[in-house]
Amino acid sequence: MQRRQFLELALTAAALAPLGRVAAMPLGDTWETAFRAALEEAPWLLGYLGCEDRPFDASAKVTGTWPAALAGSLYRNGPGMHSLGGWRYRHLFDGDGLVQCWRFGNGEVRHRARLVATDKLERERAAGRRLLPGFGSLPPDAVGLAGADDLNPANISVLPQGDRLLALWEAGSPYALDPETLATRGPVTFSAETRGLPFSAHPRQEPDGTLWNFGYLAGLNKLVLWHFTPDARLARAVVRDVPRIGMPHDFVVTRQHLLLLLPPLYPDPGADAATLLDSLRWHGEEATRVLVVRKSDLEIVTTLELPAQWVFHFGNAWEDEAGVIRFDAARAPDPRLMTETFRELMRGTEADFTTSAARPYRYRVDLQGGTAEEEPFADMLGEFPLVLPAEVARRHDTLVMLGRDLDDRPRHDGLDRVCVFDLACERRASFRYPDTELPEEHLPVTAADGSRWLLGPSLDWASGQSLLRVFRLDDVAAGPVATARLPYALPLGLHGRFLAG
Amino acid sequence: MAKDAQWLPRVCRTAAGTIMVATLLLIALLAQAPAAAAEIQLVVEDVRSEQGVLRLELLRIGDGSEDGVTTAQIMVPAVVPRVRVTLHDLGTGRYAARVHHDVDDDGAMATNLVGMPTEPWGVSNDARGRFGPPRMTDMAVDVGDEGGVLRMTLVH
Repeated sequence: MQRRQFLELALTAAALAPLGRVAAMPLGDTWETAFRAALEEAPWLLGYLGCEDRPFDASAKVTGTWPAALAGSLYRNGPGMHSLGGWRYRHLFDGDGLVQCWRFGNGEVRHRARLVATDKLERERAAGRRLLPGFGSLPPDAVGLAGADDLNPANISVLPQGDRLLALWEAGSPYALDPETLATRGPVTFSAETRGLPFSAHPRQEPDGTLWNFGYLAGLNKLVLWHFTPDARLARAVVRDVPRIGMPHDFVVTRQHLLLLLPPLYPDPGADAATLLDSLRWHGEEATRVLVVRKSDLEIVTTLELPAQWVFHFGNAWEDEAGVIRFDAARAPDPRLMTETFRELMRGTEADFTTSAARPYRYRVDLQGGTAEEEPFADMLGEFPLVLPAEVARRHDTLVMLGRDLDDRPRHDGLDRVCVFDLACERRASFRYPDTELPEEHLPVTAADGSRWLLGPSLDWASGQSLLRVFRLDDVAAGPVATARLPYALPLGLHGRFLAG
Repeated sequence: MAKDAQWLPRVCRTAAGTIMVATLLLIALLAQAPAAAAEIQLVVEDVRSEQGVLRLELLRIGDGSEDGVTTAQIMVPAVVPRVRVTLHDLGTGRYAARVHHDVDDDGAMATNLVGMPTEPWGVSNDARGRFGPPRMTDMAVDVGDEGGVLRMTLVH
């Protein structure tokens, strides 16, 4: 192959986020102004204000009794800084990754947060303004892209891996951080032939430490599949052709298979779009495909169909001896939450998201019979489903989700409840947060002595403080047993991992 | 591309890390005889290692081809942090250039599993694409009688 062809292939792949119309530099950014005004009226929007460009370190004030057995680090990530140089991002997903560590043990809770010093942020800090397009934002006088990692904000999740902490995005390379100081080391290359390939923010780790992940190349219609050994060595990475792959965000694993849902949301290459977000088209008349991959050879063995739907997050999957896979997810009818709500939120427009928000669903995929079925299992809004790490890819009885009852009207537009589902008994236990607090993803964890807890970060928007609450996993309705309170408010984050010890 | 040592011009390295092409032995692919003599400098920025070689390609645009016609292929040693190659006796007109830092000197661009380059590369004007590869018109530099400079920063 000629060098020219290589370069053109690279640049085609690089056009993940197209650089489009160049907007005129405004005198004052209208979105920044609009958001600030909206914040006066709706103070819960504090969760979306974005942080300043500075480090955060504090010792948290603890009330209640922190469980003595519960020691370790809760790492979290999410879009942190939305504004730079007076210009505000146009989509929630574009903010620079803010990695947090809550470290607890010996009766003390310490907190630390750092923005990931991505290549993108370093270039923009040097310029004093935004230079690069994001998923849904095009700054004035933006520069072009040489590859997807040019716009990688490393802002979705984290993965502790050996002596490093990875900050994950979904369309590019993970970034390595020092797990103690949270200082950024740089982008990670697992092997020469996988350099620059997408690594999703939702790797699945089995109880023995085996790790699976995927990545999508929407422009090239390719699926990358990753397999790591328990000692974090890359065992296999393969690429499969998947026409109209779209943008799958999460997946599930069983003992034998990997399973992805492919919602019918694709970039329209002909669109005169300013951003990747603007180029996306929802094809609600099409199916959401169920892609089943065999672990042993990473071949796609089955493609089934479900009604059009949008799923950000799955709980867990397991497979019985008859080849029936069961899994649960937060299922939305379409991607309006991403394509509309999370854009409007950035200028403070309140939206009724009850028709576009996800609800708890469970699925049954029969590999022998070639069928895929779904049903709601709780009549409520629900997101951020998680199971205990020891139950990943095994039959799980406990599922944690944030939720909101349909007739509930809190004084904010978010979810207001953490729910623990006992799937065997089909029972829900829950704790309803006060109206002045916005709960974030809650993690079920197991302490060193085997006791089971729920780690619940939240934002108290009335007092301007970020919190970490601890519940007994088996008695969430009793409320938190301890609360750690910071002297500052941080933006609402996305996903986390707990590392005991 | 084969290991084409025949493309290697005689070079000398100056203290500043600049490479001067003393004699233009390499213009074997001239699309047509130059209408007027001009000097073109190819400048490669952000060379981060001296392993391997830089493979440069000069393209002439407008002679009936929007994609450009290869006018010269040049292989020079990699020098940190910058390499400058001067070509003499070229015709005036529109030109573009590309560079590949062939770090392992195997004559081919190393790629990942989907064919994206994993060795440094660059194009003139540091042109970047929108939905696809950069347009040749964004890479183009007009070279008159006074000569011209085509700059490219390596993408790592």
